[in-house]
Amino acid sequence: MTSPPPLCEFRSVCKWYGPVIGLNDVSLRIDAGITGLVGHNGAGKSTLIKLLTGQLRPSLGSVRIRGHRAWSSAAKRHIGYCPDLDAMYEEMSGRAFVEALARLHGYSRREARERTDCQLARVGMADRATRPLRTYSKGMRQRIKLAQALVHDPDLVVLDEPLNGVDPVGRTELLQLFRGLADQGKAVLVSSHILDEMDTLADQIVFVCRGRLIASGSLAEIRAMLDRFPLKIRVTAPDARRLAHALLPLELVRSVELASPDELVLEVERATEFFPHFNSIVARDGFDPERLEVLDASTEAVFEYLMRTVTHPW
Amino acid sequence: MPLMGTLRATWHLFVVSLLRLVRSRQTAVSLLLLAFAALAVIAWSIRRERTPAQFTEEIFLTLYTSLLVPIFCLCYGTVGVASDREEQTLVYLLVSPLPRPFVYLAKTAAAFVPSLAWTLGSLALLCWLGGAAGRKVWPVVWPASLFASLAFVSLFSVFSVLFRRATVLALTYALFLEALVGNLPGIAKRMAISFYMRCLVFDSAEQFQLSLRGLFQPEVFLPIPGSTAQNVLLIASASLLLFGLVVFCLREYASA
Amino acid sequence: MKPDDARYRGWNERLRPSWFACWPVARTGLLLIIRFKIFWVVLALAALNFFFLFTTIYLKAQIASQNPGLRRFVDRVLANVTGTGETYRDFMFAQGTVTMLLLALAGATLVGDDVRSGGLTFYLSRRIDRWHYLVGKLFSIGLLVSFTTTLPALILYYEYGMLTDSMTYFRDNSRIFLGILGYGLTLSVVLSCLLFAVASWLPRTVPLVMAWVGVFAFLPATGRLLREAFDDRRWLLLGLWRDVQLVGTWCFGGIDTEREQELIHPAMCIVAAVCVASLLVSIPRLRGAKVIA
Repeated sequence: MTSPPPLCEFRSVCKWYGPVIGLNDVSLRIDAGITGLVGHNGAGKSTLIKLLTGQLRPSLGSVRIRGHRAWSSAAKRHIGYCPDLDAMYEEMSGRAFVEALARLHGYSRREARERTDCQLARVGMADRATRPLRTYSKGMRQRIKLAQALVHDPDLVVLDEPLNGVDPVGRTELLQLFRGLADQGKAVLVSSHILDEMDTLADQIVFVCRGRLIASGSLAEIRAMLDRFPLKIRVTAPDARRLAHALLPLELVRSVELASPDELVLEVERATEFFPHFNSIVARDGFDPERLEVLDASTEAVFEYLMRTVTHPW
Repeated sequence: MPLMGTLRATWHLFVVSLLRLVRSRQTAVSLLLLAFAALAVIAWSIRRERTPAQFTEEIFLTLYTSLLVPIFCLCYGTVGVASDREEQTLVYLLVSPLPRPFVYLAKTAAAFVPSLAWTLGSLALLCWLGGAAGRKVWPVVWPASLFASLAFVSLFSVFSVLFRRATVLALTYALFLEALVGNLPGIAKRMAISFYMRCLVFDSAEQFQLSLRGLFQPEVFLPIPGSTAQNVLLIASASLLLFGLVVFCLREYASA
Repeated sequence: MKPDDARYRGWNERLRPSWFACWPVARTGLLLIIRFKIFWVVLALAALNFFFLFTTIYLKAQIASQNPGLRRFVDRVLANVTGTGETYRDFMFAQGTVTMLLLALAGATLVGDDVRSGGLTFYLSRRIDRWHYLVGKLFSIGLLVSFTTTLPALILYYEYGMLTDSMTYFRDNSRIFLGILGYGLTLSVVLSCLLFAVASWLPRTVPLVMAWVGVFAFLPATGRLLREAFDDRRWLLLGLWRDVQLVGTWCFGGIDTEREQELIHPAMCIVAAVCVASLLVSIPRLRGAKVIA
């Protein structure tokens, strides 16, 4: 029995605009769950998203959605796209806009209306959707864009800067919504510059730089691969000096810094091997650490380390 | 998407595009332009007995053919894909499952409707304002207006998929190149749509015994038979439509 | 980026008055136009008539100097190129079509985009008032008109004079120089005010062009037709371009027929009224922010 085709697959994709390379030999699979897309401005994120949503064709390689070429209409049935551009049919109301785009999927008027109502309620715009779009705030416009991306129940939801202009409360609501979509078995691709939200949101992260895919996987997996950059851990304990003395002989400990009388900052290699040793030392010598905090396993820290690896490979 | 769904979606896109065009500011300004034209025709017809030949020569072949038809056609013809691109809303159409040929056909059909309504409607109004002379001219000249409008809208739709600044190019073509090429000596003028429109009218308005002077003299103008002109306009319209469709299907709109 | 990286330098001079900002506003507008290739095409079309006349003047001078016997024949054939005020006035009038086209296309870029896309906010967030912005924009439109009318006319005037035998041409025809400047200034002022008014209310190209065609094509045609119907030359005053030409003729000192004498003052009034009305209509559109009800 053949397995079903992957939801989204990039196979050795290259895209160039004249002499400029937008994407260079990118191979990638996107499956159910939340995938974060991270990179500097001009890294190739927009090109990747446009290839995925069928706005561009790859110069080399292929992009497939459920086995169909991304450029084809069959593939676009499976994709819901929330663009970063703040452009809509301004004279329409939010409801009319979402309904109009729903009907482009071939739904009858009644079906489109029902789906529109459902999605507007989901994004928290049910009571405000009758005003013209040009009167909306940035956050409201983002919600409407999200609603139109979800109205046809796509398998893959592509969100380009979805939290731009959304207030903190709204941000929490939308993050919960994204989580809910992933829990339903959908694939959610989020391109965002708000890296601290990727820490809790994304199951997988894809890092792009200069048109190349430099890392993909869970944050922990990628962090573990960055041998050049030992893990920084802050330990808060009453007898920090004695603890430092106990930890120094360990081979895995690269350095120890006494930040304050009750705070240590350690640099350790191979963190998964280090922690059992740390536990046994703490239990053996009766230390009482109050807090253990990893300082550089966040998306932002990993991103910085990856950029350093790319710009200074040796 | 099943065929029924595709057709339903195409129809819906056609209706939405049409409503947006009709409710746009273009319509209000078209009314203003028509008011100016109507004023000119009223001024032409008061206090004098005019003949159908005079209406054809002084109103139809000059003001109407050179100004109103191209402007009404580009008003709506260039808007289709180009305005969505300019407003950055084309992305919603490009990522929808509606196949690109259907998107283009829906947008272009939506452009045809108001263009034809304005060109034929304005002609009907001007003929009515032109008194008895104008009313005799209407049944003779409206086919020329129809076929020329089809050709203009098809051409401007091609501009809208090819060029970012389609409106500016279409204006330069309509107000300058059409006039320039249409008045070139020899058969070079056959590159202009207005040439075929005039040929159709010369043929069908023969009964009015037009006194064709200057550049419209037969020895200078070198007209072709009306049926040939009509066929050329129809073939040109179909070819341009097909060309625009192919370009839209193949082209990437990176900043849509 | 640290503040030090911005490399701000100390500056102890006095800031210039805000009216000095008019030139950067005008310059920015012109650079916007020059950026687009389509406007180069239209400018090239505008230059066709100029090159034709330039060559004609040169040929006339060459033929007359190399073969004086042909002088009368050449003068008869090229009767419109005489070096009198009518030549330059008629040239500037003939530049009308392409100048109209250029302005119709440029209006959306020069003015309409600022109104439509909120670019006006950036201007008014500086140390300038809306009057400075308005003057700057009018200046840019005026310069554009001058490039197609006044400047080529001046070059033709200079060419004609330099191809004569002495400097007497310039001495005897100094009024022509003033006439070119006067006509050019009238054109620039009227067209810039009118274009700004139309573009601020109809910022997109097509509606702007339609309104422009209505004013410059249909109104004059209506005027001509009404003149025929009522046998009254005053109906010709409906054509704004013709009114400006009458004022230009007055600048050249060429109003010598009684028929044109009786129209000159009404033409001046109409031209002035159009300018004032255009400015009054433009002012409400010069707001930095749009209030959404």
